[in-house]
Amino acid sequence: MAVETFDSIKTQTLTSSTAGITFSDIPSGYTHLMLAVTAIATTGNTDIGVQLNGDSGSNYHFQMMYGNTSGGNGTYRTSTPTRMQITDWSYTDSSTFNNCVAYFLNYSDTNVWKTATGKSTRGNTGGGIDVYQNYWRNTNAISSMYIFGTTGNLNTGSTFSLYGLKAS
Amino acid sequence: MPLLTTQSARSYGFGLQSELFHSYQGLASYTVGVGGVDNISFTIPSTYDHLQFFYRIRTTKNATTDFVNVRFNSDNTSNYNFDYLEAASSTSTLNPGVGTKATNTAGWLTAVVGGNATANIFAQGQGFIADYSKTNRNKTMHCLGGYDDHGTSIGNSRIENTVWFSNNAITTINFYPESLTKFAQYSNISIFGIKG
Repeated sequence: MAVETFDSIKTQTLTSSTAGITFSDIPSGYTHLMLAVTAIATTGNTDIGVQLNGDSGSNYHFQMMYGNTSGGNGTYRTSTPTRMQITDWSYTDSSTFNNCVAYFLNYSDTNVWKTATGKSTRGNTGGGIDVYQNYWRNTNAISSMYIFGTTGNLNTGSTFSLYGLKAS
Repeated sequence: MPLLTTQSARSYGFGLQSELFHSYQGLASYTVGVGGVDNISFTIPSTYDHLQFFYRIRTTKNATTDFVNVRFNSDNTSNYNFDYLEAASSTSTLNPGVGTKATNTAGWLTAVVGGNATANIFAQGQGFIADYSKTNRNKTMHCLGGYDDHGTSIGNSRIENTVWFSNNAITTINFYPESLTKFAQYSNISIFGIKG
């Protein structure tokens, strides 16, 4: 018997500039999490990072496939960052927010490392799109996430929404 | 708090899926146990408009990489085409590429990691099958995902599309490793139905 399984867990809209926001006490009853973010930064070329369960150590790795008219097409990967990355280069000189959707699959399964996969669009004049694969080299269930600007603050109007998806 | 209409998801540029989000229901989730399995199959009810699924996959192939094939309704004849856009490499730099294959006997879900990849690395991603029960059109499935192996430097992000040249409604979906090995323990596929 199918059940309704797309639930809003938390949402927040910034009313002032801030370094980042934290979603804590994430319930464990879903199969996957979906994080939807629209964000604009106070400093150019700010990426949006995610740290899980308060871990700011070099315990992450990720890669991105990207394309944009101002910076060309290509890929980027890094093996020991201190965060995940769910969108690239938010520009302060743009009126368009970056937006991204990231899936944290099987986020409460303590047998495997945690991941986030998804895509994002950039708000700069030339636009752009990113497809990314993130890993947190930790088997702990995800109970909190800190979403932040990597070099600048996140500006007023940025929104963050966390949803739970339950498969059965 | 169930959300029957997720306007917010639409506004966040969720892509094709977002335009179709009116009712979203979990159908099944399968996690591979000890020893692995040859394939993962789902029986699909006809009561939805579209299907979305998520995968976390590793195979037991004696290699760092593998692929996963898909068949609908047990059709193993040459009724499948697929195309992909990828950024992949075995070095520290990922290289873009495209590919296509026609008249295949199975569709292509995605590239995944094999048994020689670093422990705990799984490929991950999502797939979408539009109008899977309509009987007046061929069926299409597109996927977005990849993997990045911290230990061996293999990595891959990719977008994939499979066409199944059949007007039949999809009633079963079968995923299996192209290598004909097994899905490794803890591999998981979950599937959701979407109503318009």
